[in-house]
Amino acid sequence: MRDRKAGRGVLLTGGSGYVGGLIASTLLVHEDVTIVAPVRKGVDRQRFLSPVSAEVRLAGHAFDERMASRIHLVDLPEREHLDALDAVVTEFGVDEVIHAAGCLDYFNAGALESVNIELTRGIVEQARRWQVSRFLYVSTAFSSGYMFRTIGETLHTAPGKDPTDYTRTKRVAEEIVAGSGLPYLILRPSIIIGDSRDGHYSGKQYGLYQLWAGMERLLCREWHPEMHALAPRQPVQLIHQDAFQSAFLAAYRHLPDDSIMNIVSEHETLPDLRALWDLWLDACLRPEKTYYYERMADIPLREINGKQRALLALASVNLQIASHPWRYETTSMDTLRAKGMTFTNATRDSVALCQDVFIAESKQIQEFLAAHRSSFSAETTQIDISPPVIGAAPVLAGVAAP
Amino acid sequence: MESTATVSQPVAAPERDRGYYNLLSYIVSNAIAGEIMAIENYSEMVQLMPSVAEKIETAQQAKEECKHILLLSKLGHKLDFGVQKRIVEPQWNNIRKHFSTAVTKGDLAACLIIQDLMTETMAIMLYRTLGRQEDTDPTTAQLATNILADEMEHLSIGISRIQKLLAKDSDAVHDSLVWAHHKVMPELFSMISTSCHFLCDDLNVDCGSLSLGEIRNDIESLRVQALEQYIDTLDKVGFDTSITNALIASMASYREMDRHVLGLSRAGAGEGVACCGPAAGTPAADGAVAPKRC
Repeated sequence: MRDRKAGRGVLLTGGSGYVGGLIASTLLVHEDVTIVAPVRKGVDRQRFLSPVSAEVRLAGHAFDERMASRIHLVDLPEREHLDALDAVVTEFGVDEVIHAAGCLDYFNAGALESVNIELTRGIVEQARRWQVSRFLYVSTAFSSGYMFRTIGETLHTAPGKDPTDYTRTKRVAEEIVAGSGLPYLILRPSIIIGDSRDGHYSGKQYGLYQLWAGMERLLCREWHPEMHALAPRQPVQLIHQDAFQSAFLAAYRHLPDDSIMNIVSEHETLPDLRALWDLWLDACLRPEKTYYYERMADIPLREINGKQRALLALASVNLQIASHPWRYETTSMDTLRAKGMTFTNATRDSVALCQDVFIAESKQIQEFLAAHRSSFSAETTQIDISPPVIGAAPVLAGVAAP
Repeated sequence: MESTATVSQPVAAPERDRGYYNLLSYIVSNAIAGEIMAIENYSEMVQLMPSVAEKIETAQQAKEECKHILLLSKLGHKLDFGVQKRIVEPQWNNIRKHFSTAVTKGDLAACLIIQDLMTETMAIMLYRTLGRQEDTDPTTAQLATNILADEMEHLSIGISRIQKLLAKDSDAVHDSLVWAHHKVMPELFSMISTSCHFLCDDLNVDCGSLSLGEIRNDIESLRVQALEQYIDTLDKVGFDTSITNALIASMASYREMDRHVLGLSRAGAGEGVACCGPAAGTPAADGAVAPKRC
C-alpha cells in the first residue's frame, strides 16, 4: 500500500463525466483527499456535484458541506495553456493526477485525437513538471483492438485491428502515459453499466445503454411479430459501476507503480449477446418468432422490418465489438480479490436489474407496453440461423418460455 | 417529364389555431429553402451529366423544383400564413457548398447522392408528413401529395443513375457516398427540429412556441421516419451494407448525447443531472421543444 499524506490534493480530469464522477465519489468516501477538478466551460458546481453526491448517498454515506468543500472546480485551460493549473496544483498540494477525461464519440476522429491523445499528452507533460508521485489513467479494456488471444496486462505492442478510432487513440494514450517516466497506473475497464444492487445509472447512452435506447426509440412504436437479432453466444464484457468503483479503489490503494489492470467480470458469469436480446424481447416485445444470427452479414437486412434494420445499423459497431471473443488476463483482479476487494460480476440477473430500471423509467416504453402488451405472444419460436444454413429453410431450434 | 404538382381547388380548411399556421409557415419556408437549393444544385450539376438527354432531364428536374416554390408560396397566400422565399437557415448553404465542392471535383456520384438521394429523401419525409390530411388540412395535404409524387420521381431517377455508376466503378461510388454522408447528413438531420437559427425571427414567429403536436407529430418520430427512409433508399440503390451500416452507426452521434438519470431519485439527485439529461431539449408530450438552457 502506498504511503500517502492525509488531505493531499488529487487532480482529477473528466470529473463531470460518468466515470470521473464515479471516481470522485469513491475518493470522497474512502480517501482523505481534496479533489481539484478542471472542468469545461458550462459545467457549473451544481451540475458537477449532483451525480457525485447522488452516488455518495446511494452508497449509504452522507454528502454534507464538508465533503462538498473537498471538491475544487477550476476552468480547464486550453490544451496549450495547461500550465495555468500550476497555481491550483500548488495551492492544494496536488500529488497525483487521475486522468479520466476522454472522448467516446467513435466517429469524431478529430475529437478522439484531440482529447484522447493530445490532451493526455498535455496533462502528462504538466504532471511531469509538477513531479506528481503517480499518474493514473483510465483507459479501456478494448484498447488492444480485436485480439484472438488473451489480452495481457501490458502495453499492446502488437495490437489487433481497431474496431474504431476510439480504441486506437486510447492505446496511444496508454503509451504516452507509460512512456512519460512518471510512476503510472493504467486501468482498463470494460463496458460499464448500472449499479449491481439497484440498477441506477447516470452515464450517457453508450455501450449497452445505446442498444437499449435504440430499442426504445425504434422498436417501442409498434409490436413486431418477428424479430431479427445479431446474437452470437458470445459473453459480453460488462462490469457494474459499483464493481468498477471497488476495483478502482483497490487498485488505487494496492497496485504497485507501473501496473496495468484489466477490470472485467469473470468470463463464466457474463451473459452472452443472445441472453441480452432475450432479456429485452421478453420484457418489451415477445414476438411470435425471433431469428438469431451469428454474424451481421447473415442477416437479410434489405428484407427485414425497417426499424429493426435501422436498429441493427445504428448499433452495428457496438454489436460487432460485443460479438468478438474477448478474453482477458486477470492477474491484478485476482491479486486484489485476495486482498479483500469485493467485485460483483455482471450476470444475466444483474443486467436484468439494470434493464428493469431503464424500462421502468422510460415513458415511451411504458406507453408502448400499455398499448401493445395485449399483442405479446404467449410463446416465442426461436430460430437459429447459422452460416451453413443460409439459403436453406431456417431450422427450428427451440421454443422459449412465455 | 412534366410536373404532376398543382394546387387543387380550395377545400374548406378545418378550424385551426394560429399555432398551426405558424408551424406551417416555418415548415413551408424551410421547404422552399430546400427547393431553392435543389434548383441551384440541379442547375450546377447539368455540366457533369454525360449525355444531352440526361442534361435535359436534369434541367427539367430543376424546373420542377421552381414550380414547387411557386406552389408553396401560393399555399401560404391561400391559407394566410407568411413564407420566406430565400434560404435563411445556414444548413442549406452548407449543403450547397459541399455540393459545389463535388461539382468542382467532377464527382458526379457525390452530386447525385447529395441531391437525388439525401436531399430528396428528406423532402419525401417532409411532404409525406404534410400530405396526411387528417393531420394537416385538405389544401396543404393535396399540394404536398402532388409535390411528393415529383420528389419520388426524382428519387427514382437518382437511384437509377447511381446504380449505373455503381455498376461501372463500385469502389469510387462508395467513396463518394462516405464523403457525402459525413458532409451532408449531419446538416440535414440537424434541421429536423422546431428550433432554428434565424428563420423564426424572419417569420416573426416565437421559436419556442412551435409544436409538432399541431400536426400530431413529434421530432423523434420525424427523425425515425427520416432515418428509415434514408436507409431504405441506400438499400434500394444496392450499396454495400457493411459500408452503409457504419455510416448509419455514425448517425447515433448526431444527437447530443444525454446523460441518463436512472434510479437516482432515491438520492434526490435528479434535478441537477436532468439539466443535461433526457428532460432537456427533448419534445414535451405535445411535441413542443424547449431550447436547451444548460
